[in-house]
Amino acid sequence: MNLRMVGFSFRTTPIEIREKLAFGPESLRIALERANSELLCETVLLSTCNRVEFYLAGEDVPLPGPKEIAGFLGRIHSVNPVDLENHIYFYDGHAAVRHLFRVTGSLDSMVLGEGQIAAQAKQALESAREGGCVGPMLNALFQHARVVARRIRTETGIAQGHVSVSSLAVDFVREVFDHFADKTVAVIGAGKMGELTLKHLAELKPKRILVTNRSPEKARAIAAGCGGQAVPFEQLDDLLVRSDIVLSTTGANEPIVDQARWQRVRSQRRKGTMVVIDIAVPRDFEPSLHDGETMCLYNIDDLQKVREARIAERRRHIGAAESLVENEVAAFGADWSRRRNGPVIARLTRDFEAKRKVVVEQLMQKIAGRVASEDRATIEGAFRLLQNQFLHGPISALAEETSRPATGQHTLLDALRKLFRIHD
Amino acid sequence: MERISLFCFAASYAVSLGLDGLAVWRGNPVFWSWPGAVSWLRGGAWLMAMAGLVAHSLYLWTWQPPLAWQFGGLLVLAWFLAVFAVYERSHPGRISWSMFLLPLVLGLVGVATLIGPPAPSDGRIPGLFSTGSLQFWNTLHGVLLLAASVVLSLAFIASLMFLIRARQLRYKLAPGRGLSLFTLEGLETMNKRLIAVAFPLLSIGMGLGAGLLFVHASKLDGLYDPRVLAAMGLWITFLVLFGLRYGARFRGSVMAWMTICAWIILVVCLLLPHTLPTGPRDASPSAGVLAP
Repeated sequence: MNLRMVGFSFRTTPIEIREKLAFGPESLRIALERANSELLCETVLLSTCNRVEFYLAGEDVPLPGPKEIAGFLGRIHSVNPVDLENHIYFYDGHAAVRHLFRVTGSLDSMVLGEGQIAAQAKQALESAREGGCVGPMLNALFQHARVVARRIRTETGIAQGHVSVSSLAVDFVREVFDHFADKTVAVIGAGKMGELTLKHLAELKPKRILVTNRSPEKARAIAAGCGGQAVPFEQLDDLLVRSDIVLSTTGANEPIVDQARWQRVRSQRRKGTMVVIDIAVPRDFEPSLHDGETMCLYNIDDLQKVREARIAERRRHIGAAESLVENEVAAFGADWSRRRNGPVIARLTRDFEAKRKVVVEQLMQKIAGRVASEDRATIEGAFRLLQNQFLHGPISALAEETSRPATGQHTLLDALRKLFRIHD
Repeated sequence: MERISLFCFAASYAVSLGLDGLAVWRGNPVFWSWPGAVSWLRGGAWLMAMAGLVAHSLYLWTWQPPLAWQFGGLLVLAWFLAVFAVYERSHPGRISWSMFLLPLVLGLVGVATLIGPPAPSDGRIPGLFSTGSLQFWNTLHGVLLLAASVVLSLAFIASLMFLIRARQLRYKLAPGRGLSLFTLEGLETMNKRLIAVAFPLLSIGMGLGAGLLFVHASKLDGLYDPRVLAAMGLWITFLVLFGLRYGARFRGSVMAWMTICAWIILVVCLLLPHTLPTGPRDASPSAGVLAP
């Protein structure tokens, strides 16, 4: 398998260099254009904030090595190639296949199990296609990588659950409430940390979002940003009475909702459970208010704990995902070899078939009238048997080689082509 | 088909429950090294539950145990719950209903086994699908109470789920960990709806029972008969539940505990005619006010 991966990632390359090597849409288009004329092989360029990797392939062509790729990148990004050579890594053949499958399966990601990389690999293939850089091997390889990524995500627990604090907060809300069209979300404060969580809460499409802040201007600005309604801070009790979900992110030095206030609010509430996401530090709600039924209170520590547990849980599935990758590497190798060998075997069989027919025809003309029709069939059958037995050895040897990783450039396939004068 | 025994379907349900339990037990290292293990276990659990349900159905069809005798009532109640368990199990990624339903089914089949079928010689006990003039009212009484029992059993499970979910939330268990359950809100709503359905069924069924009691008055110890008392207790509990359901705002856990109490009283009612000997008159199970 004439395949190579050359790249830089967060594991080998500091952020200062990765920043210089990153490709935007336009620079990627230019790079692929230049790759077409300079690298002279199939090329897919996978560029994310954590990695820049070249996947290179071709039939019977020498593939660029790490130095050539460092030089190529140096020319494109105006970076000294020597500075890059210490951080570069590369894999050939099956090792390159394995690397891509691990990358798309997010086994090599900074956040284990994250889902973006599979989409980025798909996008990389699309860009390379548009640039005319993709041939049969990389096309097949990246298609297979998508399947592997999907299998890893669905068949192992590596991508289970969210790991970002804001998504986890929404996960907790979803444990309590079924539907949100009749729910009121209250936002207290205007901390930066709350913005993403509020965005996620707004995606639940609640009935209304009420925003309060000591500064009415800030409250109005946040409310305008999320399609909510500003409420004076003095009406906090009333706000709590009306709310089902509360996102609190004030900069107060002491809890703004203590037992006394909550009891007051609770006696007026006609609603069920209230979920409070308190991501303020120091905390806005007294932790003792949590009872798991009338109030479910989650603060930043709770969310961090779950995040760490989730990441640890994901790590436990690495083994299963790695074994899946190994199986898929072998499957891709076998599949690719079959695709590559198929035409040669067909050609070999066709040539022998044609030669056999010619020989049998000549023989039949020579012995015409001296043998009965049953004997003619026997003779034809014998020649066919001879052909099958003769071809059995080479075809079996080719199949056996298919199941083993390639060890060098000169393969049995090349030998067969030369021995039997098979040309494409 | 006559060789199908209680053990056949009870064993199938038990295996299904075991497979389900393994699938829920995500701490098992086999899941880290065997991709798709959970799907296989769940598929196996569904197949075994389905096999159990088929055997259960064939058993009921073949033997037609009398609904009026506790044995038949319990088996038919178990059958309905098993249907629900199989139906819910056929939706991949759904809630762990069968983890709650199958133990209940097994418990009901177990109690039915302990009670045993009525003696074949007892001609007074009507079959599962018997007909007749007074028998129609007996059957309607039994069917309504059976339907109420099924609905109340589901409410009982929803209540258990509610309490477990509330506990998960109280201890801030990470989302997705532990048993897969409905949301707290969903479980509370489900419990309320099931109670709203069960109450009229139970009330009409018991009204009919009261009428039949009047006809069979000679077979009971009057209003102090334990079966009458238990039935009254159940109805009053239900009345309170119904009041809570439509009345002032109560904590969901109060509703859940009340539902569990109602279900326990229901089970006592189902068992009473057999377990409380009240003399030779008990030989006629149709006298059981709550025996479905």
